[in-house]
Order: sequence, then structure tokens, then C-alpha cells
Amino acid sequence: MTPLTASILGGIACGIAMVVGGIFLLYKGAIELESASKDPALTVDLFKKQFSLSTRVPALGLFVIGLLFVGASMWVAMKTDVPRIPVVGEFIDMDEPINVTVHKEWSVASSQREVNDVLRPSFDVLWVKMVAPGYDPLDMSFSRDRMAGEIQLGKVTLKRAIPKIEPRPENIEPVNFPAPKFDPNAGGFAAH
Amino acid sequence: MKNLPRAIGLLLFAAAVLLTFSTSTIGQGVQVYGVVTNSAGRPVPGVAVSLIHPVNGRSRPSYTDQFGRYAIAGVPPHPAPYFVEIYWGQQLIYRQQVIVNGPMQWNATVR
Repeated sequence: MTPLTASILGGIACGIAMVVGGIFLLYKGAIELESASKDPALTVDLFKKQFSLSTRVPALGLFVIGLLFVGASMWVAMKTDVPRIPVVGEFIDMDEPINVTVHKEWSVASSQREVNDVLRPSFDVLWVKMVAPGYDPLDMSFSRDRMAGEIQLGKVTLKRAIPKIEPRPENIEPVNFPAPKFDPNAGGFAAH
Repeated sequence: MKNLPRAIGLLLFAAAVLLTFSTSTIGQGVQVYGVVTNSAGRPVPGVAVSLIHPVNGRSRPSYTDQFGRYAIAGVPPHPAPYFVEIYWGQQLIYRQQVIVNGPMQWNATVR
């Protein structure tokens, strides 16, 4: 859990506690829904008193502030949510399944002695790589302007390079341990 | 409470051991790279090359480019042999044993 996620969840919990606590105090009679006096019972000053929220009805004040906590936390959560970018396209005249991956690489300043830079991830340009066995791979780049909310590949045809290779027993050496299942999209102990 | 300093000492010692172990394992790993060709000697593009090992499991696949080249980095050297596997889509078409004790080139010919 990231600190931001913890803060958001904490904000939501505080808001819910205030609303539920307000209901509980109202139920117990510790606070009242009717105005107690002409003086404000609860005042909240925000941004160096630029914004002030006063209420003579503390129960409603607790509800409003609690709901503000919940709403603000959910708004922050929605704003910081991982962007969803649909990838759409059509493959023409392909005999093999195509593995499509989207890549993004960020360069950081380095020298022959060290690397010391601050990474600022952005999605200004994304690379789409399409790979199919026996076909030449195809790379396409998409800038943020070109994406317009989604990666539209259009109609894609890869160039066939060689005919299909059928499995032959003499090419496959047996193993004396349970071989881990192959998953084209799974991670593993190494990188490339 | 008497055991508190001892417990803290043990905790610090364990943390130091863990840190040493983790920093020694980070940065280990070599690159296995090469070219995949067919029986006609032509490069095989778009196939997945992966390493499997009885202890380390399976590596992330590397897909060959238009020249049949692949590269798998961060392979931990191990006395037990690895196996290079090549997949045509989901179909295994090649598996051969390799010993990885340093950076190595493994060119595969799939007949």
C-alpha cells in the first residue's frame, strides 16, 4: 500500500467515523439537531481563514465535514487512478496468434561513473509491439496527441518471414523435473 | 525488559544479514543471448525464447526480432543446467540443455 492510498483510506475512514459518530452522539443526546444558541457551535477555518465554515447545528456540521472527508478522498482516489487506455485493432491475413505488448521506456541521466537522476514517469509516447511466430515483428509508436484516449492500431498485417516450424521430438530434450508452464505474458526470474 | 537489548541486537543482526544477502543477490545474473535459425539457415522471428531451471523456475520470455535475435538478462548462474526452450506460439518446438556460469551466446537451429 502506497502512502497516498493509505492517506485516501484514512480520509475515508475519518469521514465515515465522523458521520457515524455524529449519528451516535445525536442518538445519545450529546448533540442536537436544533440550534442550541445564536453563536456558532462549530467553526472550521481553512486556508488561513480565507474559507470559513460555521454552523450553529453541530450535528449537521459533523455530517457535512465527514461527508467532505469522504468526498475529497474519493475525488483524490479517482484523480490518481491508473489511466485506462483501450488498445483496439484488427489483424488481416494472419495464420498465427499475435502477442501484443505496450512498452514505455524512460531514460535517466547517467554517465560512465554513475546514474543519479529523478524519474518523472509520463505517458507522452507509448510503443506497441506486435509479434507472431514466423512473422517480422512490428513496432508502432503513439504520442499522446495521436492517442486521443485510446490506442487505435487500425488494420494490421505482419510480413510473413518463414513457414511454420512443426515440433520434432529430436529437437526437444527431455527434462527430469516438472517444467514450469509457459505463459507468454508472465514474468520470471530474468528480464530482457 | 532485561531481554530487550538482546532482542534489539538480534533484530539488528538479522536485518544486517538480510541486507547483506539481498545486496549480494541484486546485480547477480548474466545475459544469455543468441540467434534462432531454421534448417535453411534463415532467422526465425517472433518466437518466444525462455529458460527453465529446476531451482529458479522459468524466465520471462524474450521474443526474437526480425533477425532471429533474442536476449535474456539477469540469469543467475547455477551449477545445475538450464534448458533453453523455444515456443512457436504456445507450441514447444525446441529444448536444449545449457550450462550458465557466465554471459553466454546460445545459437539455436530448429530443424
